[in-house]
Amino acid sequence: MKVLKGSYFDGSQPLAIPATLKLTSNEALLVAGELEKKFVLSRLRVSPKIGTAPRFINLPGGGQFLCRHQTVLNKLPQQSPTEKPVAWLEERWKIALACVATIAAILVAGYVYGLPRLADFVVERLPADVERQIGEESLRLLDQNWFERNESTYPGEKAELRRGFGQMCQALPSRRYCRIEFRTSIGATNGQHGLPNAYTLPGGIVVLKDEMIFFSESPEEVLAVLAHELGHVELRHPLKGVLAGSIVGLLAAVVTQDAAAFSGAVSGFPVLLATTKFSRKFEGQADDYAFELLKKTGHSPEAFANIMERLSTKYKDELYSPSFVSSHPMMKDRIDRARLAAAAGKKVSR
Amino acid sequence: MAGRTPKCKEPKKIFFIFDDPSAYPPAPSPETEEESLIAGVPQRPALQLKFTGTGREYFRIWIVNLCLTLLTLGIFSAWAKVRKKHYFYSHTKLAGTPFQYLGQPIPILRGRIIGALLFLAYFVASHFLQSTLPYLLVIGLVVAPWVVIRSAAFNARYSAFRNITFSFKSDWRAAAQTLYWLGIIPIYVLGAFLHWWEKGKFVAVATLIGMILFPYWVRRLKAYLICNISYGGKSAKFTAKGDHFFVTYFVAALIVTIVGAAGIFGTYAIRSHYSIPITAQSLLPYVMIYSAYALAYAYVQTRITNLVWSNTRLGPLRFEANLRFGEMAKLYIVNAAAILASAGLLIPWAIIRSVRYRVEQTKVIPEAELSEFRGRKGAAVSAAGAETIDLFDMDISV
Repeated sequence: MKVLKGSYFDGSQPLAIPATLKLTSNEALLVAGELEKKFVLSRLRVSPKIGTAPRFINLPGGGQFLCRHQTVLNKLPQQSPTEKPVAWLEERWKIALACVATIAAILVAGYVYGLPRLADFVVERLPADVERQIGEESLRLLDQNWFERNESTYPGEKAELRRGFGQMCQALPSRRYCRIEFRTSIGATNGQHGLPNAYTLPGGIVVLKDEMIFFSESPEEVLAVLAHELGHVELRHPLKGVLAGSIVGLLAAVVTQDAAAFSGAVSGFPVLLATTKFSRKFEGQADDYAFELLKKTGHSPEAFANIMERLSTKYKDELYSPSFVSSHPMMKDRIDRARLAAAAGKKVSR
Repeated sequence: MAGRTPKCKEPKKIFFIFDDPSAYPPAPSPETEEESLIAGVPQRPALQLKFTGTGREYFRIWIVNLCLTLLTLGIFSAWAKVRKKHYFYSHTKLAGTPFQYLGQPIPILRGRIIGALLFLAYFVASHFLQSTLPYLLVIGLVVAPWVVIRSAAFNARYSAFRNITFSFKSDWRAAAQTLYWLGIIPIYVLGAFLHWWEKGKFVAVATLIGMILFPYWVRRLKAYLICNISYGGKSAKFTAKGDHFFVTYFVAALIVTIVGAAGIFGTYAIRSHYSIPITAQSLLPYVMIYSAYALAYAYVQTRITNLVWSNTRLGPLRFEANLRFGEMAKLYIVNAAAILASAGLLIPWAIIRSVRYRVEQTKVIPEAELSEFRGRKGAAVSAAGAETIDLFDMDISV
């Protein structure tokens, strides 16, 4: 026979009544003040074990008995028997270390191997017209908030760029749909004040800002930028990026959920690291793709190097961010690679 | 049976939505009534409130549950939540007795699946079908009060102290009246629907009004969430004034402005006088903005927690919270730094020390015997009978 000392709570008042519970092989006798009650042992239910947290015995009839005898409590019928193995795992430091290793392996493998494959898998199964619709929707939103359309500026250059763009588009092996749209930042007259840039939206829509035409010294340079964007089109980067970014965000939210109350930085910083790493990879791929495309359509990657070089000197402050959180690879590397590709092209053609 | 009569002193007259008498400081009449009842009773000592959880122990619980959650693609997260909540409740002891968490994993899992579906719908709409977003917002507007009630009810119903559960009773209309006070949020949503947010005037007016009224809205939300809670046949009362909330948020805004501005100007000043590495230059503004945010956040948490507890009563119990701004700011900043430096491994340690500080700075002062509370023995939801759960019992909150 075991005698447990503890407190009894009858459920009618929040008062702790000092009590004892005498356990025999099939019965439990509760003595709490003047109260004496007998219960069948198999009808007791002990609340789940979680570390050293205090546990209650739920008695038939709604009463509760609180005591500290963990070893005895373990042998009584459990309220939630399925949680027993979890409690066993939680008690062991070796298991905890194994968990750290497992989580690290899941996150690293998921990020390096799982995520790109998952993004490919989903994007490849998405019908082209759905992707196009997504792109049109994004363009509409951009037009509403950031861009305006001004067809009258640089009409000659635009006609020439359209021709060159169409030519390169024809050369894409996937024969994907592509279209070029000219825009300028709202309020930037003749594209002289905004930042020169180009964007690729899902579904093959490439947006070129007039600022880029204004900034360039030759149409060749703009075509080089467009070739980079067509690399994004061919590799379907925009959708993959959205997917990968969302999955990373979701995972970070799961892992840091408990700490979210402290600050956004706790989950925000890892997400920033992971998504910019992804973005840099995409940009590198688009560059490499562009160099091939340029050579194939009779242009030279040299023009890409030239315009990038000038962009990086003129917009040094605007474009700068530390390498580990930059969305693009370092400018110097991109320029070097372009020059390398241009030189390699010459050698082959000779 | 408790809960038939409206427990909250918020007036229920919907005719007064735009001239709501409860917008003015609540009349102190119920307090004086109660005080006269206990007049002449000597001051009782505060009940001891202690937190006994440890970082070492919680680390193992946290990591095992996180691991199982990842391995089961998130399904185990419902069990993990129950176990973690259980841990914190059991280690919070009032007058020597631990609190009890009685929530069950299955309803939490159900809530999470619904939450995940809602999130997926929002995700698809916001990335791919932006034109459907306004309709989704309207649906969200209708559902939100219900979600608030279900979550509050779930949390109250499955929290127990000394074998008596808490309860939360309210209806959709009362929740909507609180959430959509003065129709501010619906007007914002309507604005998104009708493209008003593209007009500068609307943005300016709406933002200004929103900023001024936000603290009063927070007070109403807190009052709603507290007034509808009851324990042992006594419902909670909340007497904090909106003006105190306003001052708190105003000071927080000042902190952000001053620290933020100091950060930006400081960066420029340093840049023009000293040559520092470009990496440091570009990171400095972020560090300053984060510090401003952390300080303001700590300030709001400190003041609002103190304000809410010190103005809450539950039957014969009075509460007092004495969080200090400096301590809270230190907690947040050290926690964030420790978590980042340890690649997340110190998250459990950070949580434990924050909870310990909060619990141990809170006082529970009885002004009469605890026996004033009366449980409902044999009622459907006693602590032991918490397994009975209806279909819509769910917990959507994270």
